Amino acid sequence: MMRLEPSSGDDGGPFSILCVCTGNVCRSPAAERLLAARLGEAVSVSSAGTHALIGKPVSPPMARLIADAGAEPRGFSARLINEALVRRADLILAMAHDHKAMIAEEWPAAVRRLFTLKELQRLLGEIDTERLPTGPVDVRLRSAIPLATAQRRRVDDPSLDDVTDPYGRSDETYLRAFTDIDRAVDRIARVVAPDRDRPPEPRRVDHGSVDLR
Amino acid sequence: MELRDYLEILRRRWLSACIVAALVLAGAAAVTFTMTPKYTATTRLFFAVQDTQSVTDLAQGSTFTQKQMTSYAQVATSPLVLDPVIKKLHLPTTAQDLAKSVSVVVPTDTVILEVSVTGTDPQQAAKIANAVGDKLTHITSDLSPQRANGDQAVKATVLAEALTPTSQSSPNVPRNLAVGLVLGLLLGVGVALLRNVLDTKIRGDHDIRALTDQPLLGTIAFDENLPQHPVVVADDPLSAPSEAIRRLRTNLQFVDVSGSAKTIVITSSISGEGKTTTSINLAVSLAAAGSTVLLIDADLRRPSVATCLGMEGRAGLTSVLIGRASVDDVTQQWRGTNLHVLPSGPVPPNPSELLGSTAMVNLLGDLGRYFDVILMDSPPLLPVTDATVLTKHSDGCLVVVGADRVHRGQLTESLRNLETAGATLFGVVLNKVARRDAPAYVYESGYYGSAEPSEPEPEPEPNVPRRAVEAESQAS
Repeated sequence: MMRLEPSSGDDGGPFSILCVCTGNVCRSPAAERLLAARLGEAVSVSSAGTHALIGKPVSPPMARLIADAGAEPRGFSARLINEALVRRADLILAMAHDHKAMIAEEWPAAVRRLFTLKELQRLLGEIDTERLPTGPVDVRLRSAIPLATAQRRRVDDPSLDDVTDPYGRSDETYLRAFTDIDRAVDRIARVVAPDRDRPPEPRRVDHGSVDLR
Repeated sequence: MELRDYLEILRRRWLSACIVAALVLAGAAAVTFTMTPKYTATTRLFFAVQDTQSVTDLAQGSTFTQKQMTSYAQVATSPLVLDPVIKKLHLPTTAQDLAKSVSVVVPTDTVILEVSVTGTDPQQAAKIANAVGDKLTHITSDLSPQRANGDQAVKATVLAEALTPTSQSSPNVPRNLAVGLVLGLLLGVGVALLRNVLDTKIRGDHDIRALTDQPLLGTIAFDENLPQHPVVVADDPLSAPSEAIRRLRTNLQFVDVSGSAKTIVITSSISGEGKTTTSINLAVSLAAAGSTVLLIDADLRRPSVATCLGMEGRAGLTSVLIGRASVDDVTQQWRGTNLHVLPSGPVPPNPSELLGSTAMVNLLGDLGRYFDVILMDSPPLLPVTDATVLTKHSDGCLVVVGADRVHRGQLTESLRNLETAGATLFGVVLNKVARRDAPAYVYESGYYGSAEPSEPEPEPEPNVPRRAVEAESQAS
């Protein structure tokens, strides 16, 4: 039988989002923590890496930026992506188009649940949000996905939907990557969780003295 | 070929003809203006017999002189005359060399001698001419027979002294330019005809009809926006290419009157003829008319369907063929319509083999139960055998012909390959036709080129999943 809806993850739990990048210490943890903060408990967000630095915490420059935005960078341990994670996820957000390609090739059954983060941001910007059902975040998210899919069209340069990899690079690059992720998360949140406010940014006198333990 | 055909060729190739003509003219001008101008000064001498007593004498004398004119002409250019001239004018030359610049003409049936001297210095030429004329009168007296009374019988008188020529005698600028122009035009026409003979690219309907009897199912105009916005039937439904696609769709139904054709391979002779764009637009158009359509990217060497539609192409046909995924998992719906797309999947090392495999045959059989039409975008016919392999498992094929891209020989060969393979060819589609090669209706949008555009079909509503509707009704 031809199913017309996106295949969903098969764990029967809350709507789950898997964020994927290379090392799982910069981009995908940031996406994970920011999405969790913005979307709340109706959705479970996790992350993994295609070449993960297994066991490592969030890279310090990124951890600072996450904390400054009011989300929680602590209690994180990088892990490698695997079939179980992919199968469970209702939505997979790759940070760049080559992660997306790799996942599609390795686990083809996930392809209809697969977007790059900035691609989803772009596509959600094209949909008519009036058509989303009122209801909890996960319900809106499930409906938003086929509507976003229907907005796909040819892009001149797929790498424009990539979040640059800041690992080992300057603070500016970290800030740029973080800002990209933050904006994308913001768009997603405003579409599917319009009633939830942004978490307030903690007042700080000092720059970058967050305890990472 | 008739005159009309020649004129048609010239109309199309006017630019190269003009360029050649201009170049030849320019060449003629360049040569002419770099040649050193020469000037010719002419003096005229009258030869007569003197002291004639009677008319008879006069007549005889006249005849005598006339017969002598040729000899006098020779004398004029002999060292006898020229050496003294050289000495007198201090010319740095020899009599032999100077003779080359001196020409003598005796107008027929006259006793007049015209001595012309040609040189680069007009004044010098005049001086030399006059000196020659002058000397010639003396020499004539010396040479002529003497009468009894000591007078010379023949006397030469200068009729007109040579004047300094004011305009050059050579090169003849107007004549040279005129010759250059005529030659240029002739060459231009020749080049245009030659180019036409050498150009074997397919350009228009007539080229195709000359090669094959297969039905021409569509003629699609070249649209420079197409690479950026490939799904023209959706993005610009009133445009000429969109109309052509709809016409193609209708014509396809005509050639398949029984409606039994389900799997259609879309291919071309070489790459770059626009078969992927044609496949996509035809698929969208068929879906818009109500059919459930599956578009398979069967070009496993250079797949491009997914990219054209903004989809992920690394999961698809090959994933299914090797058992890593089911068709259910990897087909993607296009904009929520009746069109589903099966991208190529990862590029395999053995495309031909996969396309001819039992798995592929079985897959096509299964898919036929869910779809009204299955279109397969495949690689071109000439470089590889994939398309020919596919036609064996399909109901027929469509050959896209890229005008201005494919050569007649290539199309002939690819059609022959299909025939040899026993494939059913539904027809050909002429694509990317340039404005100047297209019949009027191809470029004008709107029915028969009228001012009113034709109605596009209404787009079906994208599906919102049932669950969402249920949730909505639950929430309210």
